[in-house]
Amino acid sequence: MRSRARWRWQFHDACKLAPGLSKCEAAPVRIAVSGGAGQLGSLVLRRLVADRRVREVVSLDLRPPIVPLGKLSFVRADVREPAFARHIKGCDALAHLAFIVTRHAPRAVVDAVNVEGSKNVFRAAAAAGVSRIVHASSIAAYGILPGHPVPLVESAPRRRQADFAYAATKFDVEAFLDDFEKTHPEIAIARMRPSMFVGARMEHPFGRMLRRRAIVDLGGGVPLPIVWDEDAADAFVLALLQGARGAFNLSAEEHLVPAALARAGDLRLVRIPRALVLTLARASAALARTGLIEGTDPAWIESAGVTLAPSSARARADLGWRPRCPTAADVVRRFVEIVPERADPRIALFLRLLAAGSRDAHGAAALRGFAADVHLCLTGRGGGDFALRAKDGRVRVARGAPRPPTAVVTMPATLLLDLLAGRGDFTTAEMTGRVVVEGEGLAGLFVAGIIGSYRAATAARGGRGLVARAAASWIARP
Amino acid sequence: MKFSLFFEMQMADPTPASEAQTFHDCLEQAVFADALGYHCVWEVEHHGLREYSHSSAPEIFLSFVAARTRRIRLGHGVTLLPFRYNHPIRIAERIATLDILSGGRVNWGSGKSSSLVEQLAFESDVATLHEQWLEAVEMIPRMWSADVFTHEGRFFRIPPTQVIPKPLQKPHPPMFAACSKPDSAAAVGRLGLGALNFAFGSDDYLAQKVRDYRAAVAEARPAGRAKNDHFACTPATLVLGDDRKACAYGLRGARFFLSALGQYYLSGTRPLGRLDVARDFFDDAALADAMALRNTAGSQPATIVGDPACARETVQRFVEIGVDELILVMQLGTVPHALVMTFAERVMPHFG
Repeated sequence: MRSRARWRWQFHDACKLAPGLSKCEAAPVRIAVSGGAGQLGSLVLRRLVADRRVREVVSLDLRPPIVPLGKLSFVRADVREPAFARHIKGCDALAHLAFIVTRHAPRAVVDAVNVEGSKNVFRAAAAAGVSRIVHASSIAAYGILPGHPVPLVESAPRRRQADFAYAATKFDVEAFLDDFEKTHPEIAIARMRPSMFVGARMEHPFGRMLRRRAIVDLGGGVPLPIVWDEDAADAFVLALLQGARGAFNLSAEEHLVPAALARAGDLRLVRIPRALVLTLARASAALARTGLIEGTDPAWIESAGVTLAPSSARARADLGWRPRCPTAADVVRRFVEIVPERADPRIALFLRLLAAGSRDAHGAAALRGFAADVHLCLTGRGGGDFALRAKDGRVRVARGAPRPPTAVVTMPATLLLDLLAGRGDFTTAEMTGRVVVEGEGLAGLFVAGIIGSYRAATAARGGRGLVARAAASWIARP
Repeated sequence: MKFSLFFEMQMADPTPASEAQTFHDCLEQAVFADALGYHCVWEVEHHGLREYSHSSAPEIFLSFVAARTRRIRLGHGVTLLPFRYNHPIRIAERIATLDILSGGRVNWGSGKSSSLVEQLAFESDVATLHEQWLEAVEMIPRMWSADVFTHEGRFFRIPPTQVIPKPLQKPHPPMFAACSKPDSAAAVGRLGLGALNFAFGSDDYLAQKVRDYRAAVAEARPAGRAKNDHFACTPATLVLGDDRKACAYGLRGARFFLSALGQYYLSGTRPLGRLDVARDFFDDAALADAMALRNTAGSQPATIVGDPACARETVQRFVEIGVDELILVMQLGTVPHALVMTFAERVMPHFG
């Protein structure tokens, strides 16, 4: 059972938290999420949408979410807007996740978005009568500086790290909340202080390296405090639904130095002198100022030499948080298991055949009247994110997740290859949770249908069947 | 919540004998459902969808049911309206006749046909299926209400004609339409027709679909026919006292229903002979996984399978989604009568 359970996408496991979740008496019914398009936001939205007690969710962001709309709506909003309160009118809870994290931006912009923007959002929430706020703080709020207690608990003093914009702004927002809490005792405010997120949709150089199965060792032998992002999202939702108050560290335990993480996940260890990386990062930041590239704040590199040992005992005890990746080694193994390195060329070929096949008369007729933007999310080795847009009898295939999708179909890439080769059954996989369909009702049938028509094409007579069989024999390689 | 039964006339292993037996079984279930207080028997019209649906002449089946029952309503779910399948005058005549003979018990749903199998077999013009449907939907209720019917349209030019008989229900039997394609619930609502929808999709998706439908139907002002604002879904259902047994049979049946449907819809193929779908029982591990998934957050409510407690939970999800009627697809291959009984006795009473 244990090995089977590993097949499943984390989502359903998160949902098994339901017994814990259902303890909370009055779940908020209308929830606003700032930063819903981001790495954490996507996961939080997905959980809130799946929770049947939640009636409405609004994602406030510059980009549309990657979660299907429905009770989820999207409002293009900037945390700096003076009239932000109008976006959260009628909401009883707010998750504030919008923040500039790794992207390099002029300090004035970082301050305006992270600090002034957060204050603006919190004041708007108070004005709108929100009764619960969950704020995405960070372990950086303590200051990534030497000398913190071990383990680092929530009551430890925070120190402002002025030369690291991210940490300084996290500190400043918490300092604001210290006062805000006193003037608004009617609002339950939870400050989540996660370690660095590791997950499927990291949007920074460390994440891009990890996707290529490499991890940088800058020397110094400092353990990296990390947490699996879906675990963190579970904790955010628990705090939101329970109306928790106070600070909560969220971290995997048994932190490892890069070399040990590399061993745990069978990753390449890339040893680069810190000075060189720092130079590169500064160069990237300088280039970013020219607008040519999106740079990384070099302070992330400078801060990577400090040990923090956060304890998540409080989140476990008070929120009932049960991370599925309790240790750093679990996090890395989970990453390698579900996050694709690159799309399998056989899957790319299948999707090209799909797009070509939908141009023929039968394919087009079958899809007539069916319009959908399906996010085919293929996890694990050989996977990737694909947008399947069905419209006017045609299917167009593009890389990346549609924003917003009408449906998300998630499955391991190896399962898709098995199904294409005639090994296994799509519907069984869907009914047992190995394929997860969110949103649009016919998306599962649509994906089953494209697999079915691919299989049928290999049985066709003539040149078309010949080509299909040739492709299929390659795609079906074990 | 209203509870009804849905008949596809589905069979996993058609032989002349098993085919005949299925028809008689369905008839017996319909008679039984009448006694148990179900709301309606809904019968599909499909042509050539072997194994998935052998119900090609629903008007015959429903008239048989009408003769053997007293109270239960008789639903066409749905009559295919593109004219190659059925001429609108013939539909008006048949529905009216059934309505008279059954004492005004007919619900009339219509659709366009979704499978390439029937579209090509009847040489329907696939490009105008929607327009053909729409024209007939507007014509038929006028045939029922007008003493002399005249029509000039894109597909039909009918000189003054007295279409008879007239239905017993006034102004006419309630009208429904199939709306399982993503945006068609709102379209059906705008026309003021009742909605017949599969139960696929997340709770959130279905709830949004119902909201879109309600908003559209509230604004509908159909001319020459009565408005219907009823939303129905068709979950695959098997409820037994023994949860595991219900799942072993019910989930296998639901899988057959879904995969056979997938073979005929959206795939661009016209399968012949035995369908390439799984028919065996789930192995122990898969059954345990599928059972554990039921009613979890993120699961779809598409199957009401298990013991009465589990079924009540799933039905409650449909209540929250805002559905008016559940048309239970119990006819999934192996159908002991006891299951109709279990649902009616131990689930239905909880939902008025």
